Amino acid sequence: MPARVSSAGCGCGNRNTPRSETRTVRPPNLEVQDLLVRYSSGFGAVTALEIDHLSVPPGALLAVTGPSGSGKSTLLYAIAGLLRPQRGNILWDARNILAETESARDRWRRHSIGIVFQDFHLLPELTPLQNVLLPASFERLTTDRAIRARAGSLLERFAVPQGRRTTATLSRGEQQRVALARALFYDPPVLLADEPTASLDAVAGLAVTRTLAELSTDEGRSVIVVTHDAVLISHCSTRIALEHGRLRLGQREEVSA
Amino acid sequence: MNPLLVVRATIARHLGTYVLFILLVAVATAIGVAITAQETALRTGSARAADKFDLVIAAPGSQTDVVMAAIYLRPGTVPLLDPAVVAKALAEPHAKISAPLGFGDNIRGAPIVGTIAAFVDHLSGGLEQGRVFAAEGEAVVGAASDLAIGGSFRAEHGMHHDDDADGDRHEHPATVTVVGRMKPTGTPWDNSVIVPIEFVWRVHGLPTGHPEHAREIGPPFDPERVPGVPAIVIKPDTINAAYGLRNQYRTNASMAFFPAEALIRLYDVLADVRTLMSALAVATQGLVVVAMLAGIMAILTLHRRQFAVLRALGAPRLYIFLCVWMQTAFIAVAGALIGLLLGAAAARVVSHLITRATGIVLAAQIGLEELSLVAGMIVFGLLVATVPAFIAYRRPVMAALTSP
Repeated sequence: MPARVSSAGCGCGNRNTPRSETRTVRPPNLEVQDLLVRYSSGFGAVTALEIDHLSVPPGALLAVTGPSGSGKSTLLYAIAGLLRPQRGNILWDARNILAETESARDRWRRHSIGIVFQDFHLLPELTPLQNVLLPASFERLTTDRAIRARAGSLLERFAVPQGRRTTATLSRGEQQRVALARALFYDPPVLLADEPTASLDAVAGLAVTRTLAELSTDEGRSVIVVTHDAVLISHCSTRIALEHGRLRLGQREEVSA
Repeated sequence: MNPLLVVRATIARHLGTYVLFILLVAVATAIGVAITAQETALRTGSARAADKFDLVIAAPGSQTDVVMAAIYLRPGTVPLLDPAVVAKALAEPHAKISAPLGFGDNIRGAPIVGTIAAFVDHLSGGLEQGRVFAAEGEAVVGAASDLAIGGSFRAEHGMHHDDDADGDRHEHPATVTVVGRMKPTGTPWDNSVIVPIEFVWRVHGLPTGHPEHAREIGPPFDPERVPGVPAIVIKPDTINAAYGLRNQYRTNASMAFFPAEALIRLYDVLADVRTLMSALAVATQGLVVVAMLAGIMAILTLHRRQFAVLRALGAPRLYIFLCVWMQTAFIAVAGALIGLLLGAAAARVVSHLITRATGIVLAAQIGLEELSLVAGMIVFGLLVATVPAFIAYRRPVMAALTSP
């Protein structure tokens, strides 16, 4: 069911503009079908990922776990349409993302998926506001007042200090919150997070965990998190585990918090 | 799309490296600009300095040596013309002015040139101060001379103070009184002391072109009492006369030439030197481009994950291309423009030094040739910038995102 959520926005209604303040998030039914990702190595072709079927229901908070090299990040980036697998489909409702042209996938990813990384990957020389505005620069020459207000309100929401200070001066927790604000700039219905708490201390990690949970439970977004963090896993509604690129399904209750 | 935010951030992160690259490009550009501007200034300055010397007659030998000594007043040994040729040339009916030039002495390092009053007027186009010499002991100084009008000075042997390091240097018994100052000519003559030719002849113990005890100066000269001179400058009354006189004085006893002929040969050598130096400058620029590309590629490698992240966030490939292209283009454009300024400044400094050393006023200026050179550098830089940009454009996202 679509969830009605509240989020800051400019309300300008342009298709390139972040959505309005009160809106309905319509997360898709995400499906991974018959996916095979292989890459060449010095020892020949290596299977990075082989998944027969995976369905992520709308609004799910899904934890992807597994040992290092098990294909977790590969799965995340495959869902984001960042790689061309040897075979398979990534279905976004009825739309097969992998069948799209690269520019169409870029545009889709920009507007439909937010990504958060373990090391934030902000531009430390820019201010938090400029970092959040970065996705706007992918398709706009200038940013108008409404766009800036949208970015500002996202930072406000995540309690990030604004001003002329560069992002490099922020704490790691604050930097991850800037990254979250950047990921939500286009108000995407799906959020992908790759080890979002791994670089944070316990307090900051818990704050990010709660935020991710809110984005799913309160706002209805689908959130897929690659993590080893037991606290974060405990907040997830569903958990899957990967091993050698293959899937083992699990339930939240199976996760020891 | 607008990649300026990323460009700005990347440049800020590696500011020292970018400044170094910009300086490298600037120096490489400046060398090219300075060589071109200086060579042009040298041509125009030297040609202008020779403007008033229509036809030169001298003893057979090197035309270049005569030009350097008689026009640019550079120290050197020039054989004397046969007195018979001198007498004939000074009485030449097809010459508006036929001026003997005698040199070899100095006052406080300023070369003394003996000639006739009409040539002073021809050279200067009227005096700035005072009057032209009317007696043997009088002199007119160049516009840049520090000898004051009314002052009397003793002549020394040699073209400059330091000419007689072997101890031959000595003062002549005669003094000259400055009576006039020429207008600026932009030539070495601005630093000279111009006296009647009779003064030069007399202090060297030669006949003065007039009866033995006569004190008159200037033409007409007594053909029987005219000694040899290093050169005679003739201003012919017509162009036909100029060519006629040139042919007439091309004999076993003399040579006649238009200074432009000698200058063209000099310019040919200069052009060869310039070509060589320009080739060196281009080689330098090539090395700078290679160094810059290597540096940019190193920075790109450092930033491969940043660009992959941008792609993951939805940036089109073209955005990444522009990010890298603009960074490299910034180096090329900023370096070329700074190089233009540095080159212009260097050319001016060198011109100033040459002017101080030779008296030939060189006005090194930035012209079409220099601007074309800089524009070429910029266009080349913008094209070269596509190489790293294309590499970044093609770089796979996943490998960069998942690599350690």
